[in-house]
Amino acid sequence: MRTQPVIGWVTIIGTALSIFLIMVVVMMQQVSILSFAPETHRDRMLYGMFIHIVQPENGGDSSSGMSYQTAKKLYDGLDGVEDISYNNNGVIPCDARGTTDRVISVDLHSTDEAFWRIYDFDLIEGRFYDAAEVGAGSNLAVICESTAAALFGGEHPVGQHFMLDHNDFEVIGIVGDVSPLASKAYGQVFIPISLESWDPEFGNVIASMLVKDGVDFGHISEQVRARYAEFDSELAADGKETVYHGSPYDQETIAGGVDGSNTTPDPESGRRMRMIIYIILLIVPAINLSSMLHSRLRHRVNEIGVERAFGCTRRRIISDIISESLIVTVAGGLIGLVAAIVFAMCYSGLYSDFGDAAVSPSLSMLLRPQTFAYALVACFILNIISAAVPAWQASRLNPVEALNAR
Amino acid sequence: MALIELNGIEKVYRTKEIETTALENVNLKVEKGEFVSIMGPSGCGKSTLLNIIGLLDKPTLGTVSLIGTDCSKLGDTAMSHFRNANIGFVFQSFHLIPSLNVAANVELPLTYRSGIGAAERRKRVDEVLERLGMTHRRRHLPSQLSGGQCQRVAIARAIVGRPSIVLADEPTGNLDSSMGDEVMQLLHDLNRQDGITIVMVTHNEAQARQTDRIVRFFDGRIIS
Ligand SMILES: Nc1ncnc2c1ncn2[C@@H]1O[C@H](COP(=O)(O)OP(=O)(O)OP(=O)(O)O)[C@@H](O)[C@H]1O
Ligand SMILES: [Mg+2]
Repeated sequence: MRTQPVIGWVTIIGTALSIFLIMVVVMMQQVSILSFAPETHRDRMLYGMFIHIVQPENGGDSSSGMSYQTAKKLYDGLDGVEDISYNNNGVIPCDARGTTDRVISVDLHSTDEAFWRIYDFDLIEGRFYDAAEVGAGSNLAVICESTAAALFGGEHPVGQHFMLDHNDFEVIGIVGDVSPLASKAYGQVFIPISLESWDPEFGNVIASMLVKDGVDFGHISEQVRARYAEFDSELAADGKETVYHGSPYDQETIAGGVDGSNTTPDPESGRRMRMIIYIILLIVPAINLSSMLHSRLRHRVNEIGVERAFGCTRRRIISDIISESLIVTVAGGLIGLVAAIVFAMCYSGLYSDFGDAAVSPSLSMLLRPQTFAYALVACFILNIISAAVPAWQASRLNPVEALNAR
Repeated sequence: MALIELNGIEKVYRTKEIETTALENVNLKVEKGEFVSIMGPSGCGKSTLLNIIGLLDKPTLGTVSLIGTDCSKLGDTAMSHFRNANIGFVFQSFHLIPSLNVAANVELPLTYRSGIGAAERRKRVDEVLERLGMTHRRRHLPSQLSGGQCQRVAIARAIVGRPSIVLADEPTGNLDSSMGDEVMQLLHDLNRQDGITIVMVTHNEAQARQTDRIVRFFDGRIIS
């Protein structure tokens, strides 16, 4: 940058673009695994989601969500689990009509009372339903703020009644809106889960477990495997057996996509894929930056000769060039990071995976130490691979030839 | 022992097809405090010799000993440190760094020295600039200076690290005669007042005659 400011700017913009692309990918990944309210403990969450049962004799093969009974059999009372909630897998769209008489579509999430303990909802008013109310199948509802406004206009919502697909429900609590990006806690209307099921084994229940701090997930998985074995011995009478697909799943596995109830998710391949994307996104601009730096240094051969004559060591030449290029990379990285954050917040299409609603992460989901750490690491790697070779070449210049270079 | 001692120096440049013998069996001793000029026709090896004395280049054969140190055995880093501590260079084309101002150019050798803080560096830069009458130009860029002023800045840079040896390769070659005389006056001052040993390559017979000794070269060999 000392002699070639124009190329300096081109370099900064090139770096910015590269960091921008990387950070968009990193932030998409982060939003899917890092904790934010109400999923405040994603690092400690495990999910039991499906059951796959086969009948080897007649080739029977069924897989689906679990019934409450199955979920309890496989996941209840495991050692090392702090709390467990049985709730429906995802939301069901329903029609709701309140005092405004307008019919609106709401996302319904049926849960037990433990749901309110393992997730960190912002209770604005009223209360949550308790175990007795869940057991009794009471028509009570906790609804989120914006839904309350839509159903009741300006009226005080707690204590009001509304129709949910032709059933009357009473509002007992109001919670802050939940981002659909919190895919496991999301909902607009929450009601007590019905514990009956159309089938002894299958249903639509998942077990959301909050693991005790410091307990290894492997310890939980081992117990679940043992429960599967127990379940198998029960099913054996009917000539059935389970197929184990690695349950329960952690947040990274969930984020990587659990493709179906009869497949074993492979977070490893997602990780590999991301690594390949990161490498390409770093290598390609690094090659460009490297040749820019190289041509920039060609104009400075004389200077390098002078520096060497006055006692600059080879190592110093290398570290000067690398740190000079680091300033450029970090400046470019900062620009790229800001651009990526703005982009992620504005362009909700990136996150269309999360249901129908187009959602964007909030600034607080994106602005966290990890984001900066990743961006910085990406900058360093970019810097090292782009500057190392030109810097090394510069350090090997013969001082006399460098001084006499035209 | 002499301050500069060259023994049996031979320098052969080998390119794919031709071999050029730039120096052949050169033996030279320069005592402490001497001001020596080197003269000879173009291409006879004067610059090559100066580069070898300055540890910028290695001889094909022979030994270089400076200030009692056998420099033939030093590694690249040690040589860099040695140059930094003991040798100052003045070039025909000044070789100032165009993007750095006068003060920063002069400060350069000190930035490669450990254990000398910013305040001390500044003080030393101010001292030499004052001495060479360039204080009022300390914030100027080299492109804003005349040739004579550039060479003064270059001399300031050569002595800011208080070396015992200054090597000057045609220091007045790019200057008109009055500016050339000024630069010569400065070099003589450094030699007399500071006892700096100077080896200077020149084509100017009159300037050479003002120095303590003239070493004449022809075709890679000392002839007198
Ligand atoms: N890097 C090199 N490769 C090949 N030959 C070289 C190289 N450097 C110098 N020479 C040759 O070595 C000889 C001495 O060169 P040198 O530059 O020392 O001459 P000089 O006496 O300084 O000449 P001038 O007065 O023109 O500066 C010349 O024949 C030159 O062509
Ligand atoms: Mg020469």
